[in-house]
Amino acid sequence: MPDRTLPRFEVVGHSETKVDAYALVTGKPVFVEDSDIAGSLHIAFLTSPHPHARIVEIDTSRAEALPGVVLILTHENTPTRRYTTAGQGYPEPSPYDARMFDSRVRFVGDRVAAVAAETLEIARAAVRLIDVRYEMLPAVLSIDAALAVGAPVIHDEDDATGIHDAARNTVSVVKVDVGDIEAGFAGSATVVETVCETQYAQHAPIEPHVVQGYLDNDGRLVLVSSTQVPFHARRIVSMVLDLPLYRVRVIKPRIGGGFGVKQEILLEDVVGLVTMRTGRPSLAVLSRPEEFYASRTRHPMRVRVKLGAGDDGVLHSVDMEVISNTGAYGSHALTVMSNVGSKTLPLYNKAPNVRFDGKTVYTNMPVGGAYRGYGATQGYFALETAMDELAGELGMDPVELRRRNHIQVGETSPIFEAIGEGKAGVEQTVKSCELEQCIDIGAERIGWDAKRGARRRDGSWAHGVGMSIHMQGSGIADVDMAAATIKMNDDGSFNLLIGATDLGTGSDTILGQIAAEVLGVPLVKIVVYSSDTDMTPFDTGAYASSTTYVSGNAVRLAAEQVRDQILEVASAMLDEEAASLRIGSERVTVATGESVTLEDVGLRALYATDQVQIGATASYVGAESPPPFLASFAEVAVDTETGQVKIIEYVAVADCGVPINPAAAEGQVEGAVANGIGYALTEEMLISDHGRVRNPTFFDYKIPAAPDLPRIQAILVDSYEPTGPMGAKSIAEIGINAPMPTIANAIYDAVGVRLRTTPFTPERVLDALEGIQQNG
Amino acid sequence: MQLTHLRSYARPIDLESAVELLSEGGRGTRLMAAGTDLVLSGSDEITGLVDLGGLNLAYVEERDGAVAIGAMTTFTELLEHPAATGYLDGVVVEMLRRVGSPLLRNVATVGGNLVRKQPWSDVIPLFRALGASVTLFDGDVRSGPIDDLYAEAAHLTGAILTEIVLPSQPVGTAAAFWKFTRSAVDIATLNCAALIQTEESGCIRARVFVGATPRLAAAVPSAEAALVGTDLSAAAIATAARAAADEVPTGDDLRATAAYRTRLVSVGVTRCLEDAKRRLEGVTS
Amino acid sequence: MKPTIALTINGIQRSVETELGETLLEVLRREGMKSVKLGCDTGDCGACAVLLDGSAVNSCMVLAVAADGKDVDTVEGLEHDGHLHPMQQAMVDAGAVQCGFCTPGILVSGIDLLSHNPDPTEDEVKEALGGNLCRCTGYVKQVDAILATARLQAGETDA
Repeated sequence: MPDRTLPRFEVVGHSETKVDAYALVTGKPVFVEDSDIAGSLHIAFLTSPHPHARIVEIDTSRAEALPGVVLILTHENTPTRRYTTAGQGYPEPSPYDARMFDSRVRFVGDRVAAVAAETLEIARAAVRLIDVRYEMLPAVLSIDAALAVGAPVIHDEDDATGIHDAARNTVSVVKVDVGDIEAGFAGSATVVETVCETQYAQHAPIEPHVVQGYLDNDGRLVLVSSTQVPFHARRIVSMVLDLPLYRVRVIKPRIGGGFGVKQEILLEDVVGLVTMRTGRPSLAVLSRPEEFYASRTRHPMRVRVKLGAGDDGVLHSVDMEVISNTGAYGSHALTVMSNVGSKTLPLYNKAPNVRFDGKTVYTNMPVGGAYRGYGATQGYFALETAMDELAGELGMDPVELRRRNHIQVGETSPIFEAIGEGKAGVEQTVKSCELEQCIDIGAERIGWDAKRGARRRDGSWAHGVGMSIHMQGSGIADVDMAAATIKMNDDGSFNLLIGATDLGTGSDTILGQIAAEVLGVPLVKIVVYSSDTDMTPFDTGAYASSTTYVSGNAVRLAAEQVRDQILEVASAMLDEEAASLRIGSERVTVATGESVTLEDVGLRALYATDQVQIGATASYVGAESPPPFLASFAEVAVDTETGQVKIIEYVAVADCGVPINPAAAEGQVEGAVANGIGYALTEEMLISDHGRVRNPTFFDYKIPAAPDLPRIQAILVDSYEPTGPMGAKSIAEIGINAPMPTIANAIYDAVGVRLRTTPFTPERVLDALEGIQQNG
Repeated sequence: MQLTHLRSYARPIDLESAVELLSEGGRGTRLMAAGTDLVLSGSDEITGLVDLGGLNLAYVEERDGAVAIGAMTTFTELLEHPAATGYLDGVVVEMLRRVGSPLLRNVATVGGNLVRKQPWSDVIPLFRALGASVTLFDGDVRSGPIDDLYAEAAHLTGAILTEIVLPSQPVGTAAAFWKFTRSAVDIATLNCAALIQTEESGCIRARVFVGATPRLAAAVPSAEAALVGTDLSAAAIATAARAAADEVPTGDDLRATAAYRTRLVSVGVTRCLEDAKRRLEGVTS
Repeated sequence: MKPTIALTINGIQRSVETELGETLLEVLRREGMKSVKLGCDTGDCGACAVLLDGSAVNSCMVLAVAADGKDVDTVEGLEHDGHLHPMQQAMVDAGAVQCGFCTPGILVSGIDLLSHNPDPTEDEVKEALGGNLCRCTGYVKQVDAILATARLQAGETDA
């Protein structure tokens, strides 16, 4: 721990009870589907059974004849404007390649029609009565097929925009070349090259996508949505339905998890149109199978990494080439690809020569989207596998190799500026980095020195340890804005109104803590409300690890303005200069000890003298995106007879600056690591030769349950980010990047085989083991 | 709503009425134990249900070393019952603890599992290896070996499974169950159950079943033959495992390929037999 | 014909109209028990878990008519005299609640476990939660909360 004194906080840095904990633990009706709205229609979808086809004829007459059916939407009676379902800043860096309903379907699960009926059973029955005649088109069902000469073109429509090269099925390209990569390799003592291939995986929030729509008493459209991006949802719905934006209101109540998949506008448009056309409330909920095959996934990628280093292990050249499969639509295609490079390459800034070459292609497969980690996850698997291989080639401890190469405080990387999201990035110098501490603690906890290379056997089980290190970002610098409004009440409490979107992460709580800290009150005196496009100020939403840093800084700024207003009122009350006053313990105090309570201030301001609403709105756009860091260690056991991999111990040590709420921050790491372990070991959407998802249920797609996981040890080190609110950086995403390379490297340590295709199913592991035995 | 075509539901309190209701109900009428699979099937073919929950068929009794299990006994009730815990060193309990989660085990019934014949059933291979017998009621009471339920010509229509009996086992008998899954709570990628009976001369009886291949468990006669007459040495077990890998037909599904399953057959039979042998030694020593 | 069934929900006897093919999950939500969540509809996630005659079950797998005459307990009935159930309080204190969508089901499984195993090991708690999927937490703090509840209740019994 560097010698310095961290600021002391009263509310921040404490594991305060989540502000919504009571409602959630008592099962209060706080989720979208819990509000029984009388007379609501239910919406069911007809989706394409074919990976690529043209709709020649669609006959809804039998369905319409079913009693209880109220409205059927198809491409023949809905708006045709192209847009992107990606809820991103405007203008979105994703292509406008989707229609609400199209006459062409591009993957199994693509929307063909929606039925609104009096009950869900009727809507589902009507869906089965819609007759569709398809003209089959040749389908593209792999990355290689998409790139093949003469491949069928998936987006040849002339009204799509923002596609890099539609004729070659190429959505986007990201290229960066710094220094002289080949000269760097030529001057390297050791060069390794590895190619990793990752699978389709799904977010699997336990609450699926759900939207309830209704018209308010003024005929405005209200959408209560399980969205991470209420303001983007409002903008996109307004655009697609050609409604004035002021006629749309989006409310986000409690959300049952998102992980990126609820950054996508998948139901709001349909619910909105049904409610506008019928004048009636309407509800749409994705079924679990639809959540798998018709919503969004993690982009599968093929990543090639080539590293060159000197005898001392210091990198000379880092070359990363990536092909990503975005499926039928290009949501987040460009920006996820950007993050494959921008969130990984700066970590090893000692290499003067860096090249990144990323290309994202369309296929007739499930659609990629934002998923916690956002490309960094796939990038780190390849990069950290290659680093492990390099350590092996050099005969160096993998921990030591990382120590010699990772970025430090005061350092920068040309990649920060070279790769942004849809535009150039932002130059930045790292101002906080406790990666050394993270590595030390993690290595000690796992028993690295004793276990690495020990090849301990226990019957058929071979044990090994592996590690990897990571960075992410804190929001999208110079792009995404958050605002916060705080107003003071007559009892000295405050309302904090935020567009920031708590989807279970605890952001309402930590933003409340930041306000409470500045205003010198306990958390209970901050009444937090999020998010409602009518009531709360703008916030881009919960993505890109932005809320703590970007929204948190907005809250801090708003609270500081409110504090200053309070001091001004108190100054008149105490007849003292505002500058000599201190706020804390719900009072404003003079150095002499004389004080007034915040209640006194609130009452005076609202009722007595020089009356004024004490309150402020502040906004924040990050000038930079300070990375959190993480060192990850695992011990695994591999059954050499079955290929089964068990995680014996998992340690994740993170530098997230000052954790505003340590329990919540630990929870983010624990949850992200758990999700990452599932991604590494069992989670894989299996796609048939016909493009159909074969395992769209929790029965067949296995996400980790409690008995599948070790006790994940999440440790937060002392750190302070000078640009963060109260020294904080992000924490939500970084943990998910770690398990895949950490486990792969541990498997290598245990049994000497490299797994480069994911997930590491027993069958893949055993095949790899037997491959070695055959070759050796 | 799951069963949108359901038009009748009855919970009779005696077996005769149940059989009558079933035959009167016609083609769309099914017997329902816990109903978990029936409900989840969402099948439009189901128009009537005869719920067996009123027949007092949830019980476990020890009868001179044998264990009688009412067909409507839940997995949880069975695995918490001392008769099950004490039977052959707890092998039945160990198997049941690998089936689903408590949320399933608290409702799913032993009889329902045997009758549903899901190919991944863990109960079927173990109960067949144990040589269980079953009692059916179709107006008359019929008893016979559990194997009859799974014979190709098995004909259950109109009959109600009422009781399963795990027989008293001779001294020198042990059984084991092995299951391979992708995650802790999962159906088997492959499962295996084995029973061995020994006398001083060595193994005199062996029952080996492999299931979820991905088809329903079946006996593996070649492995059984390879064991009888041996001293269950490592070599004998290895021979049996090889024989099983050669004999058991395996197939592909989304959990594994046929080739991988064949490798699992060998591992599973080996581990299952080694486990049974360990138990035998534990008991005799 | 819409059958009427008798359910004792959280100790209060109710006469409930149902459709024949409906699940207990659907009926309970219609009766206002919104803690009972639909997460998968295939009995694989545990979000709809309730205590049926004292045993934790997935209410999506139980036909409502088959529950006629039975006791159903949901998280709505856990609070007493304005006090949270100790396990609810333990979940809050441990920071075990993230999005909270799975929390009611986890509570149901945890309470079922402690009712027949008052002093479980960590592994036994994990096994008991095997049917409750949570995507947010990694289960660490939920397991801790259940173990803390067991310790607390043991202390109360001793005293």
